[in-house]
Order: sequence, then structure tokens, then C-alpha cells
Amino acid sequence: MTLSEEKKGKVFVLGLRGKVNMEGTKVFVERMTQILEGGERYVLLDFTDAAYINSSGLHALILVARRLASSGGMLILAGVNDQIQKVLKISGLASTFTLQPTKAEALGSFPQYILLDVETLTACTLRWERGHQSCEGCAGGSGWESAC
Amino acid sequence: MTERATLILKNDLSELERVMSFVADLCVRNSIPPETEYDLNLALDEMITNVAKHAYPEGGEHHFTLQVTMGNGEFVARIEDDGMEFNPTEHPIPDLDAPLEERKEGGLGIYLVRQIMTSVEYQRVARKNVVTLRKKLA
Repeated sequence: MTLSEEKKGKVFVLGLRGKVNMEGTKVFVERMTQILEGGERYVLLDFTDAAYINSSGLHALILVARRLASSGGMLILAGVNDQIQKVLKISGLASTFTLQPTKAEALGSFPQYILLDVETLTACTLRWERGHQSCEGCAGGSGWESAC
Repeated sequence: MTERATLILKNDLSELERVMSFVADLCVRNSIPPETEYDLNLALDEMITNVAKHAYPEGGEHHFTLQVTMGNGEFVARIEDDGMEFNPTEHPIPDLDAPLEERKEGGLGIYLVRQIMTSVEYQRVARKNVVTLRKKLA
């Protein structure tokens, strides 16, 4: 299995390509541990190119979800195919994870201020401090002021 | 027409690639749909991983057999190993309702096999574990 990475604002997007089997899980867990120890709290796992998962992969997801839950973070899975969804359901994990059909929809599920880059966040902060009630940068969604 | 093949496997996870390749070819020849191929791969993955990781706690290289039969609307896999006695049909079912922080590792793989295959049978024959997985094909 191979991994791809990108950052969208504060969201760490990790793309999984191939099989999340015993060998793939080792790669995934190793990288996820580094990511979480680096302080990342908003994670999108993109399963669009992941064809397969077994019980070791499921356990790895549980560990990631558990760790993010305890740090007040968020985890969203995108592009999970029907077979993997079936395995999640059989394992009693279908309602444990937030699933979105595509990466774009998954990104849209995070609070919007999370996706802002540093420059826009800084600009939002300045506008807020100057008394502006709305902010075009982060669309003035609820909770934005706590992040801005 | 019935197909039958026997693979001699080492107790090493690297053998899984060979097994999955074998299953892929079998499914192409028998026009097995992707969702069923997934189930067959998953079941064999979990069972073979179990043997490779747990059957021989003393370590060392060991061999076991996987015999596959496909025909008469059924896939049958018979896994025979001379490792530690292990009956998957009596393995405890994991608590699927446990909250995330209480979910324990262990047991999920065997549970998945029991759910996705039509039947799982176990026999202990001459100090060998013989597990027979069956899946009815549409």
C-alpha cells in the first residue's frame, strides 16, 4: 500500500492506495503515529484508491479514531467502496466512523475555518478584532471566532 | 465442472500475495463477481494470517496446505496445519457494541470469516487443525 499526503488548512489528508492488509497497515500505523504525534487533530483518510481492508486495517482505524477522539480531533473517511463499507458494517463499525462519498465532500464536512490557510486565518482575526461581524474569508460560520 | 487445486504454504505472511493471485485467477475463470472475490480473499487472508502468526509459537519455518475446490455453485477451502490446536468456530465473538475506547483487539478476523462464509467447520484430525470454509456462489 502507498500513502499520499496533503494539508488543507488544518486538515491532514492521507490518501491510501492499494490494500489495507497486514503489511499495508504497518505502513499506515507508522505514518499515522508520526502525524498524530506531530499534533495533527483533523484527519481525512481518503479511501478512493483503497481496494481492500482486513481486520488489522480495521484495528488501525479504531486506534486512530480513539486517539483523535481523546484529543478532541476529528476523523472523516472518504471514498470508502461498497465492499469495505460492508466489512465496517459487519464489524459493528459503520456508525463509528464518519463517511463521505468523496474527498471534496469530506473536506466540506469539516468546520470551514479548519480549512483556512494561515494567511486567511490571520486576516479573519484582524477583521474580527476590528469588530466585523462577518468574515468573507471563513464565511462567518459558527465557531469561527474561536479559531480565528 | 469442478476445479481443485492445492497450495503448500509457508507460515509467512508473504504467502498471502500468492494466495490472492490464485483466488483472482480462479474468480476470472469462474466469472465470480468482485464482491464475492473480496469475501473469498478476506476469509483466506484472515485464516492464513492466523496460522502464520499464531499456529507455531515456537517459531521456525513450517508448512501447511490450502486446498480449494470450486464447482457445483460452491467455493470450498480446506486449510490443514499441524500447529497449535485452534478451533475458529469456538473462538469468542468480539463485543461489537463496545464503545470505541473499549474495543479490544483480537477475534475480529475470525468473526469476519464466520460472517462472510456460508459455513466454517473444524476438525482435529491426527493432531492437525482442519478448517473447511464454504461459500455458496450465486
